[in-house]
Amino acid sequence: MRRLLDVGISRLSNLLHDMSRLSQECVAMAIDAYLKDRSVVQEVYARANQLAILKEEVNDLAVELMIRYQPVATDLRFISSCMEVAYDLVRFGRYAYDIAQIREQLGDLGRCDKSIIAEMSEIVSEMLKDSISAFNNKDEDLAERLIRMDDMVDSSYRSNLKKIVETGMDIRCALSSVLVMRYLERIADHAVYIGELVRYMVSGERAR
Amino acid sequence: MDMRLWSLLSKDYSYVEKVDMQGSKEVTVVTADDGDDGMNGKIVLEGRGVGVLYDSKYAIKDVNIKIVRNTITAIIGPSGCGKSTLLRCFNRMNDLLDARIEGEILFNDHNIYSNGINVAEIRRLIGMVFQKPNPFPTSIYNNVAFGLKINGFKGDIDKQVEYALREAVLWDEVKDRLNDNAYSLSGGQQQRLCIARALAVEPEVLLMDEPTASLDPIASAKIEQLVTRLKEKITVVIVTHNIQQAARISDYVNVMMVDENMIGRLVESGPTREVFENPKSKVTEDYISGRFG
Repeated sequence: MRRLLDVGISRLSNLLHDMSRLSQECVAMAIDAYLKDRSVVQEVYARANQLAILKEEVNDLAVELMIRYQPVATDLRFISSCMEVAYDLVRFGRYAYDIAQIREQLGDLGRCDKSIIAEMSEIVSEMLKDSISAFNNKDEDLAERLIRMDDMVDSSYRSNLKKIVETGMDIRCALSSVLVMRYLERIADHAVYIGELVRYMVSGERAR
Repeated sequence: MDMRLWSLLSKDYSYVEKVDMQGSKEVTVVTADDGDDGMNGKIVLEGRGVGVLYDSKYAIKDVNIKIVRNTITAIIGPSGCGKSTLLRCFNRMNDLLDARIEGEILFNDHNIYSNGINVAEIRRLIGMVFQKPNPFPTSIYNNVAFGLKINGFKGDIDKQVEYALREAVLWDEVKDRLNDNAYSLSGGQQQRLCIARALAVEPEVLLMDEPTASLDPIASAKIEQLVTRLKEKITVVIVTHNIQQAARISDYVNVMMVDENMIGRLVESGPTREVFENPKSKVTEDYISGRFG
C-alpha cells in the first residue's frame, strides 16, 4: 500500500525535476550566449529566480514531511538530500547568471578567443547533466565518475589560467575568460556535491 | 560510536554484598567488575543464544544481545515478535509463565538462570515497569515504601521514599498528599509512581514494557524525559511499539521480527542513529519506514 509519505516524496521528486531542468537550461543558455557573444541576462535571471523560489518550496515541503511523518532510513536520506541538492541547483542558476552578466559588465567580447571556455564548458555541462541523472536514478557509479571529471576540470582551470597569463591576452578577454572559468569550476564542484549526496542516499556514507 | 555515550561509562563499580531477606541467607551479588577498559565492564546484561519456549513452541530463538551500562536500549518490532518475551528473560519474569528458557542471560557476567540464584534479589536489581500502571491499592507513600520494607531496608524510609519520588519526577506533585490513595493519581502520575516504586530499591537496571502505551502525549513526554535522566544512574531497557519514541530516547536499538515459522528473531542491533539513518537489514528498513505488512 502506498504510504502518505510516498505522496509527499513524489511531490518532492517532481520539484527537483523542475529545478534540474531549469538549472540545466540556465547554464546552457549562459554558456552558449557567452560563446556567441549574445546577451541573455534577463532570460537567465528569470530562471535563476524561479530556481530560488522552487528551492524554498523544496525546503518547505521537506520540513513538512519531517514534521508529519518523521521519516527514517532511505526516506530520511532522500528528503535531507533533496534539501541539499536544491541548494546546489540554485547555485548552478546563480553561476549561470554570473556568466551571463560578464558581457554586460565588460562589453563586446566578440573578438576574444573562446576555445578554452568551449572546451571546459563541454566537460562541465556533461558533469551537470550526469549529476542530475545520478540523483534521479540513484546511480552511484555515475556519481563516482563526477569526481574523476572534476579532477579534469580543476587541472584544466589551473593550466588555462597559466596559459592566459603567459600569452598576454587582451585584458578584457583575459578577465572574461578567467571569470567564466572560475564559475565553471564552481559549477563542477556543486555537481560533485550532488554526486556525494547520491552516495549518501544509496549507501548512507557521508563524504568526509 | 557516540563519544558522549562512552563518557557516561566511567562510573566506578565494585562488588557489594546483598542479603536475601526471604531466606535469611547471605548471597553475594556482583554489581559490576569494571576493572578493564574493554567492552566487558560496560555490558551490564547479555543474552547468549536465548530461546523461549511456551508449550514446546519457540516464541523467540537464538537471540544474542548486549545491553551497555548507563544507556537506554530500545527493543522494537511488530506485535507478536517476542519483544516482551525477551524483556521478561532479563529478570526471570518468564518463570511465572511456565516458559522454558534456552541459552544464558548474563547479569554482570553471571548467568541469572544458573542454580542457586536468588530470583527475588535479581528482580530487585533488575526492576520492571509495565504497560498499564499497576499501583497497589494503598497510599502513595506505601506504594514506594513497600519494596523497601519487604527488602528489609535499614535506612530512613521517609528519605528513601522522597528520593525515589524525586527521581521519578513526581515529588513536587504528591509531597502534600502522600497519604492519598494511589488511585487518586492520573494515569501518567500512576506510571511515574510505579517507576518510583521500582527505583526505591535502587536497581541497576530498569526494564520497561511499553511504559507509555496507555498514556497521553504529555504524560508520555514526562516519562520519556525522566527515563532519559535515569540513565545517569541506571541502565534502561525499553520495549516500545512507538518507533519514534525509540528514536527519541534510546542510545541503542534492537529490532525483532518473526521468521517464516513465526519465531521471534533479533534482526538488527546498533546505535540508534545508525539504525534509523542507515539500517543494515531490509526488514528493519521496511518496518521503521512503515512499509511493513
